[in-house]
Amino acid sequence: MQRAVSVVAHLGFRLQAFSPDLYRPLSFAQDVLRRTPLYDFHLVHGGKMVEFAGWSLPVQYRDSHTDSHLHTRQHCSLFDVSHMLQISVPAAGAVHLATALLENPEVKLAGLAARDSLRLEAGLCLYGTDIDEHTTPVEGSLSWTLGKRRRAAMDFPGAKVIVPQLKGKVQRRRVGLMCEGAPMRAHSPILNMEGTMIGTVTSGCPSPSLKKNVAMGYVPCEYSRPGTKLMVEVRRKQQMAVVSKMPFVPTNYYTLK
Amino acid sequence: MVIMRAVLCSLCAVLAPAAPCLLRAWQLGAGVIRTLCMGLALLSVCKFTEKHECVTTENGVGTVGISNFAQEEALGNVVYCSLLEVGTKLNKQDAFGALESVKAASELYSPLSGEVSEINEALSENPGLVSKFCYEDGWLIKMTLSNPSALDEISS
Repeated sequence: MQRAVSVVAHLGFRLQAFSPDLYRPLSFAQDVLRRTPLYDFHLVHGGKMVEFAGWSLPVQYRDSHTDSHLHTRQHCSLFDVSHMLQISVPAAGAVHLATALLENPEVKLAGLAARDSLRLEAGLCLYGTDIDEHTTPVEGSLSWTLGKRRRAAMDFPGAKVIVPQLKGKVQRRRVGLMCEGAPMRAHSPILNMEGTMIGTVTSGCPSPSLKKNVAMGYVPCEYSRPGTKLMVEVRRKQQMAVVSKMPFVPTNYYTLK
Repeated sequence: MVIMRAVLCSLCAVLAPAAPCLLRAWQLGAGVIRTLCMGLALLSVCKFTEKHECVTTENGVGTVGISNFAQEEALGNVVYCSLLEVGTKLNKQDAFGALESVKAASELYSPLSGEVSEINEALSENPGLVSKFCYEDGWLIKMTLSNPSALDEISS
């Protein structure tokens, strides 16, 4: 699981813009959508196919979303990310590779639903939803992606905007949020304790691992410290929320060190 | 889907004697429904709205739940349930609460007009119970109906 998450994490920042509506059930001809080399393999394993960013991908298999999510935390899951990633095995060998990996009894297949709730627990962004062409890495709390050399050389797109932000201030920052009551989800307004709207939730869900509601969203800098009390509006009701550090669930990424 | 409905009807039979089980016509051909449900039973008639709420009535009190289709196909595991308070007056199609799975939230719409007389407190501890509507524990709210005969307006 750790390895799978780390692969997705490294790719997360190189994704093209995806539709903010995460996925829609397949309602039109499947030959309009692109298929990965594992398309038939997914069907054979009971994959429920949906449209995602122009591809036909499994949202889940026979296990429920929650079961798949928890299996990934406790054991290991296999995700097809070949719509983003070139693996150095010929496409014709993909089914063979995936089948071989599945022979390990700890490994199960997981789809888009579990991937989304897992990455949220890990505090990872979904491009197009939590970050997009209007956010800088500093606003996105992703300054760690900018190495020393680059900061000094300023030889990357947007450097003139971003480097001053590193040294100075930003208007807003991406923060983690937790709340009781109904789950916060994308587009929920974030309010200060006086009831003024100060920001918006970009992603949120009930965390299957924590059994609490987690979310991420943007707030002005002065509200971004962990522990800050805020409110989130869910279905016209205001609920208490608190700024929380991310990841919500401790990560345990496999590194080669 | 057809298999699921057959199982539902069997469950109906186990639980109670009485009226035919009226399932939504678009889910199965009407003729098939009659064949499956002939001789089967329900304590009272279970009617479904377009938005998948399900209601049974007895003595002017409606008991509201959600269809198995909504619970299994559309929602997945229900992890959270919120309901309006006892005493709330509802018009037909007013929102009376919401059910949430990990991936989505679904608002609940009242199938009839009336006043909320009871809410199922067990759901706050165990939201997964909603899958058991019509068959015991999964009811959402009970309401005193302002117009008991309005049940007939809901298509079966």
